Amino acid sequence: MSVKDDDKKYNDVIKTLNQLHEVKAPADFEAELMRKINSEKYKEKKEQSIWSKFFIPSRLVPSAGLAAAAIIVLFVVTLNPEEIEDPLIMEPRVREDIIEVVDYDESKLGREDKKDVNEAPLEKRTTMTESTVTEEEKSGRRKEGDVLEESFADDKMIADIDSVPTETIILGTTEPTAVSTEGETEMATGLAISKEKLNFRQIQLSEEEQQVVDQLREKVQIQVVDSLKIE
Amino acid sequence: MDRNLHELTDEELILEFQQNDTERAFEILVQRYKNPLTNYVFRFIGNYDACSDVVQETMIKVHRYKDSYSSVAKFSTWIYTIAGNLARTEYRRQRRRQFISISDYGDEHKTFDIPDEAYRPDVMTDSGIKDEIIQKALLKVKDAYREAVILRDVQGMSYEEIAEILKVNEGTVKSRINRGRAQLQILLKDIYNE
Repeated sequence: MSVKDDDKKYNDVIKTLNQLHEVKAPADFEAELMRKINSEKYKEKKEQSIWSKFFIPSRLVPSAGLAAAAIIVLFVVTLNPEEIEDPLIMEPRVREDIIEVVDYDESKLGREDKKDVNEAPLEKRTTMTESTVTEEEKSGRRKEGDVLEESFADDKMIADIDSVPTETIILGTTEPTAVSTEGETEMATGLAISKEKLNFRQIQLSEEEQQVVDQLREKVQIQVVDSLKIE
Repeated sequence: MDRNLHELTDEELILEFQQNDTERAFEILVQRYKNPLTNYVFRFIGNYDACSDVVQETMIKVHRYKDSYSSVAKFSTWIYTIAGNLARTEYRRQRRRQFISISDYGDEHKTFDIPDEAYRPDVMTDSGIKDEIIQKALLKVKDAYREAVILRDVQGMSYEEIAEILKVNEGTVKSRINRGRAQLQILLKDIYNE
């Protein structure tokens, strides 16, 4: 069937549709259209300006710097992880050498009347222990038992000092006297005290002072011998 | 200058608008196409307010995407294609909205008369009443057929041009037009008997 035949068949329909009134656009169509177009242009500019705000070089510099700093901090933190110990949980470090001396001091030499006498040996003891440790480190570590034996020996020695008459100790510590030789001390007290292990102040005396000291020493020896004889 | 622009063809005007951004060329195109497009879109969707919005949207798209027009095709084909796409979208949206509003009543078996706001009382005459009947009949025709019938019998376009706008071959266009006419003939039977 050709187009002409179709048109003839539906002629009434075609005629009806052709007779329809043309619907026209509203009177303010163009004004409204231009208003919409202008508002779209404005919107586009506004959107562009919002984006351009983010990409202004002057605004990018600080943000880029901030980002770089953040990356550096991140690297530093991840490369050097520190194990942070909780001070409330971790056990305190024990300095055995000091505790040893303090315990010793309190338990064995707890008397206040001999405080002056004990202070100096305590210091000496402390230094002794430290020196012992350094010697150990040099010569190789000794067994712990040996150290204990030594400390017991020291205890015995200090106990011996306690048994020595007060005068002798005063002479040895408070007054500036010449240090007596080991043999002489043995003579006076009947005990062998190692000079090296005592904290004497070694003073170089003049001849006059030496004479005075010798006289005093003789007196003391005489007194000691007398007292021994009496006993 | 203005008189010269009025003498230009549609294709020359859009070219002028593309190359020199001459707003006046665009305005002339709007003047030329606002009524034919309004008529076409109104006959398709049957709602004057929606039709006006669709035509405005079409013009805005022409303005914004003027560079996408290729001089190979006719300007009328291009602008009708845009308007047709927008009209179809709007028509589907309207139908969906009507369906939802009817469903809200809850009674699926009951039918409702949807008021047609396309015609205003101030323009209602005898011919107006006849127009309303024809318009209602048109809206009952299947979308694809209606579109082809409007372009051919209302807008007076050639089969070739309709085929380009609808992006189908001419044979399909003829077939759709005939089927649409056939449906309309049945729907408008009472008018012809008068």
